[in-house]
Amino acid sequence: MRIHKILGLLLSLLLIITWASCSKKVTKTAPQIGETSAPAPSPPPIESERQIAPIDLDVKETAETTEEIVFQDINFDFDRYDLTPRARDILANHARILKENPQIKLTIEGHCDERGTIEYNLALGERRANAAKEYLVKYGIDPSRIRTISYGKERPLDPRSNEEAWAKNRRAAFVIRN
Amino acid sequence: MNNRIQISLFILLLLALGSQAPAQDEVYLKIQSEGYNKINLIIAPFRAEEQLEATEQIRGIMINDLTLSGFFNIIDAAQTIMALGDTGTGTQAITGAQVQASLSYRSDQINLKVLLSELPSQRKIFEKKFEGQQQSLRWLAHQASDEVVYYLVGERGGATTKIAFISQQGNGKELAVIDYDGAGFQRLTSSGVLNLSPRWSPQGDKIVFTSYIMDNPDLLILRLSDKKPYRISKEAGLNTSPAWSPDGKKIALTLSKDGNPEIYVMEYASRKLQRLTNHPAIESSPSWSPDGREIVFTSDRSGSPQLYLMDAQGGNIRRLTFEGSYNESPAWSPRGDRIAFVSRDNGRFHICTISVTGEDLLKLTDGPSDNENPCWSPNGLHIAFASNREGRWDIYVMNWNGTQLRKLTRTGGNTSPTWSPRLTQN
Repeated sequence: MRIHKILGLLLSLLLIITWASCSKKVTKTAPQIGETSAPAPSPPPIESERQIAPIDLDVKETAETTEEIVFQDINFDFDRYDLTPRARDILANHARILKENPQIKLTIEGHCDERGTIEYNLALGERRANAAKEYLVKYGIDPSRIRTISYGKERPLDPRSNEEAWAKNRRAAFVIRN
Repeated sequence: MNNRIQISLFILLLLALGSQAPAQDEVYLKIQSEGYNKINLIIAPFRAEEQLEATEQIRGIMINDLTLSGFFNIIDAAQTIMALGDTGTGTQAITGAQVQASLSYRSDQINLKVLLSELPSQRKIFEKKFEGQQQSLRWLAHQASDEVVYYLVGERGGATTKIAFISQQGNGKELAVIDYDGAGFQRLTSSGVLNLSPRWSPQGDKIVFTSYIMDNPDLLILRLSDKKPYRISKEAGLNTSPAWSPDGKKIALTLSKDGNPEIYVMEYASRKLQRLTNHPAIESSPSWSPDGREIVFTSDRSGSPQLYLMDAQGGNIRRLTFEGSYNESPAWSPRGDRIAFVSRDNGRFHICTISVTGEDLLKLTDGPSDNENPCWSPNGLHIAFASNREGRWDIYVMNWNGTQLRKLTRTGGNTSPTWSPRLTQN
């Protein structure tokens, strides 16, 4: 009886160790401004505060959300939804990360600057999010991994009313879904 | 002689000489009929044994209603008579009509008796009783005003209408409502999320709007009887820019479920969808003609957003606007002859109207501010819209030709007005 218990404990410990060593492959791209899309070097894995790991296999799924991957926004010209060369570069990099991390599911948010009407900007934001999605799908990403949502002009990054703020606000943003 | 007496005498003199409405008003009222002049309307002091404050309040609301209707030259007899020291009504010289009223109060109940008579003949046009509770005093006054308008002009007044809009409340953009005169603010939702584009149903019983409550821009209906929202469209992507058909049986809307924003019509009872547009460009923001036969909408198929017309079945698409590089938010007038919309001019957004034949473009707002979401009053004589002309976004109302601007909300963060039809209850 006692031996069984000890064996069981050892086995579970072994499972935890092997799992922890191979599951923590962390890719991180810091948001970059200016330069084109070389991925930033991967920082060391951040240790999560795991204490007692139950033998439950569900743990693996929840623990994996501790990875930190950040997808950079892409930007658009006024009243446009076609992708700029720079947006294409950034999306190519996003596609690479998505291929390396098949567990990641994305919501792409389409946003606009404050100029123009609420309803038309909703449609414009939708087109921007879809343009980004279509490009990723062309790179071989399964469309079922990507959801789109348009916020029109309702969620600006920068609330000011000037060219700089408008340029930032005309964007597609990539949010990892859990 | 003080100023008031001078002004009063001047008014009486003018009236005695036979009143002529200024040229601008003539233009304004041409929408009603050719060569129409404002009717002189004397509002006599209201009689009451008690509660003089409430009595004055009701009278004040009615004077405001009748002024805002745009049909009358209001003569406040309480002021003129006091000023002249005249004990009679002093109405012999006036051609027009007179409103007299008496009020009685029993516990919580108000009884308002209105006598409308023709001048100078003093012939009775109607005598009518309005009853209601103290707390609905404003509504009582609005009902009486609309009745006066109806008997004198032959057209239902707009005092028993309301305006719903989107109001920023904390993190949420919520549905709210005010009376057409700006009184009685009331919040309709407390969702804490983004709600957009409300449209009041032609029957007045519900409001359709876009809501992010389920993390997607879905279409919801708010039933006004119990303030309960329910979802009527949850297609993937956009469920936006709803527009009721004039009979209230259909809703035109924008869906992007097939990959691209297109205009569809939903039969409200069955939720059955019919696709109207089919084009790789953006199509959005439909609005029905009052006869329900045509729809005006926005498309960027030419490279910039412009207004287009089509049959209600989706055929016969033709472009309506050619001036400017951004024309959006069309709203078809209930009178059928004009379409209000938002147009970009010099980097700013302004309210314009254009005839349904694409002629006679009128720019109604001006200056270094943005003006959006035009919507018509049910009688087509007024336009409500949102503007940031004083810094913050608030709701404003103007006449159909851009005159007589008044500010309706003052709290900021208010957009997207939608005008109710005439309502039978408060």
